[in-house]
Amino acid sequence: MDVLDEEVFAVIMAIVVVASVVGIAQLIRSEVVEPFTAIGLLNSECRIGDYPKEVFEGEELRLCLYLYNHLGRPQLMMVKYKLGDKNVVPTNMTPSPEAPLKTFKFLLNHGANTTLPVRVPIPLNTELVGKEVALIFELWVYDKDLGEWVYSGRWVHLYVKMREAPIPWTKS
Amino acid sequence: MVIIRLHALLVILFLMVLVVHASVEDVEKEFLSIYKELVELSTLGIDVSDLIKELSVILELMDDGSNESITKAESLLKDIRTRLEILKSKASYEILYVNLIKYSSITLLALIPVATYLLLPRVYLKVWFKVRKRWVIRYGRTR
Repeated sequence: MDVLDEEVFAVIMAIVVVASVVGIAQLIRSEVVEPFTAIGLLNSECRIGDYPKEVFEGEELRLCLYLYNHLGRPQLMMVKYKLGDKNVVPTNMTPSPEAPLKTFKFLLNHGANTTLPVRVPIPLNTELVGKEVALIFELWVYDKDLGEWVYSGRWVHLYVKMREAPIPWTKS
Repeated sequence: MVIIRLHALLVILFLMVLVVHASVEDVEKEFLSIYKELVELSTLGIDVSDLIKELSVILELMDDGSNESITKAESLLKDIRTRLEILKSKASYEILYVNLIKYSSITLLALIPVATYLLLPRVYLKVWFKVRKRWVIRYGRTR
């Protein structure tokens, strides 16, 4: 006596086999398929948009940095702040040749992110007044095997117009 | 006399700066050493997230750079080093446990289709009969 219909049994078996294979694949595959890091620039209220369009020489600009670690391990990170123009903006292979004006270090677990309010200095440079400058934020990661900081290929930049300081700075 | 005192003061100040600088370098060295070991443990599958969070606090203290912060960072690093050594001593058991759970789960999942193929018809048949055990078969015309 064939109580269980053969076709019904075949369908049930197919579902069970597929579910089993999917379950095993989930256990075997590595947690991080595509490792990456991310950097974002936010305004002074730590939100996207409403960025400053002009800055004054000598001021300290308030912004926010966002970082995310998806490398599958804890990662020591550093953001280098540089000032330049459109000719010295980094690429995904090379950092900007400009010297860093300030650095910010972070240590993040895998899957963790952080948003940090920062103050970045705008240097006194009369040559840059009236010009469009780029505030460059490069993400560097610490390579534990090399024992040195390595450029991650990630960066953000913000173009702003440099204005003369409203109060003269060099008067004694 | 005044010049000699001034020189002595300068030498003391120089030595103090040297000691503080050496201490900062030592703290940085120890920080990186602990960081490297924690990353290695993490890649082996051991949960080091709590220690990383504490190390992140130490990083902030180091960035602050004041004598007080460096001293505090130094003492926190000593505490983390102790806990790291304990974690390292338990690491092999932890890895064995994680792998045991993982491969047992895989074996169990692989056995489910086999068990279904062998047991489902029998179980279904049993249930089928159990549900119908009070049924009465009558011969003759039905209304």
